Amino acid sequence: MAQIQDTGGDGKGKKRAKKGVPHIDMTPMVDLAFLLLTFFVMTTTFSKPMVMKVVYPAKPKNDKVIPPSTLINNALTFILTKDRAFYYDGEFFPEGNPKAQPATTLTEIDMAGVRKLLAERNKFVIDKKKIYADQLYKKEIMDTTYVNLMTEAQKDQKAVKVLIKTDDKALTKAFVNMIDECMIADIGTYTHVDINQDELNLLNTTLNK
Amino acid sequence: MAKISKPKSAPSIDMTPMVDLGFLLVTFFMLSANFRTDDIAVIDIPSSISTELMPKDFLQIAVDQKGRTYVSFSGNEEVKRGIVADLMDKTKLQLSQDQINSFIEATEIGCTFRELPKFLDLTAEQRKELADVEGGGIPVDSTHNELKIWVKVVYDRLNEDGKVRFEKMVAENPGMDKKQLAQEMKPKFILKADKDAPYHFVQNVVGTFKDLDMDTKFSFITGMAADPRKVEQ
Repeated sequence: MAQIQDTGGDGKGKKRAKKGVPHIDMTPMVDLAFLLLTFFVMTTTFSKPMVMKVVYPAKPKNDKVIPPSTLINNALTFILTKDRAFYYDGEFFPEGNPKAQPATTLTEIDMAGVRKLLAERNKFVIDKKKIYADQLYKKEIMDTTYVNLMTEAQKDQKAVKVLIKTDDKALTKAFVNMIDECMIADIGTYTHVDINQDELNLLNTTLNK
Repeated sequence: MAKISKPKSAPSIDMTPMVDLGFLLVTFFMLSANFRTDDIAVIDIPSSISTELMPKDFLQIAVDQKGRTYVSFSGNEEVKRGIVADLMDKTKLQLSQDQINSFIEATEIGCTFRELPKFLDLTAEQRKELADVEGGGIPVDSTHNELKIWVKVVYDRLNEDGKVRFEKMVAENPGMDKKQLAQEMKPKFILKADKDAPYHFVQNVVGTFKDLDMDTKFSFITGMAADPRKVEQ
């Protein structure tokens, strides 16, 4: 192993006693080193976990009833189920509703589709972000101003809001992916809302088609 | 014909570079190691683009693939002693001194209050076995919700501890931004859900917090994924 090579003096001339080239057997040390290496490789975790913030709507207080018409304002609703996702635009109208609106239908969408749809619908915020980011880059505005302007843009009437609803079969990863897409599209308001019976019925009929 | 002469001594390979590399790697891993904690729950976390770091003061609820729930929380020995005392008070549990010490050392708890004394007597490996049954973990059903007690007790204790530390910090550095500091010292709620866990189990946990009229800001633990916005730029 790792030892100093002894050269010459092989069979030629007189055999002399070696002039004290030290031979240290390093095998145990090396064994130990590799043992440690294996131990550390096995026990190390590299990636520090990150956290993703989600704000859920608080329990509605009984004395404070919000009229439903103000709830939906430029919103997209996504309904997640096992392996599949659907969406509808704006308010939900069940079959035979008193307002005589055509009944809402669900459109199936995949994750790539979601990204495209959200980028398209949230163009208002994304365009504003480009302008502000440019101003920030040129040092025309402060970074705190940038954050405030962005929050303002995301709260604007024209900015899209996303509601996520899930049925019993939806998996956590689908939900997390959906939130992720909202963050990618710079959507300011997104949350999980409990699914209602009408939507559940519509989802089941759509799934059984 | 020339004879092929056999080497008289055993062939020696110079292993110095290999050993050097070995030590280099050992050093690297030793310095960069941050150890995996021995969790009872096996949870494969989903990935997201978020780059926020884990908060220091937290109450974590883990949900595994089968929907079993576990709790873990930050806090020093004193805080944990307070938590276990409150729990014993609320649930009329009797724990021995050894079991209390074991509670303080435990990283994660996933059993009913009735099982808790037995759970605390077990080793980490045995705890995994105990939790790994159908319907194991902390009950979160609407009829029998023990998570409520956990959340209430742990949150109150952590919050109290946060306030004490806040007062201390403010007394030491009067010029600090008090509002931000107070926010930092507040315990945060973390959800560690398996990516294949049915989402309604997570919703049950969130519902428990809602029922308690608590803050409904949650942080999901996620692995890192590439941000497509940054790739474009």
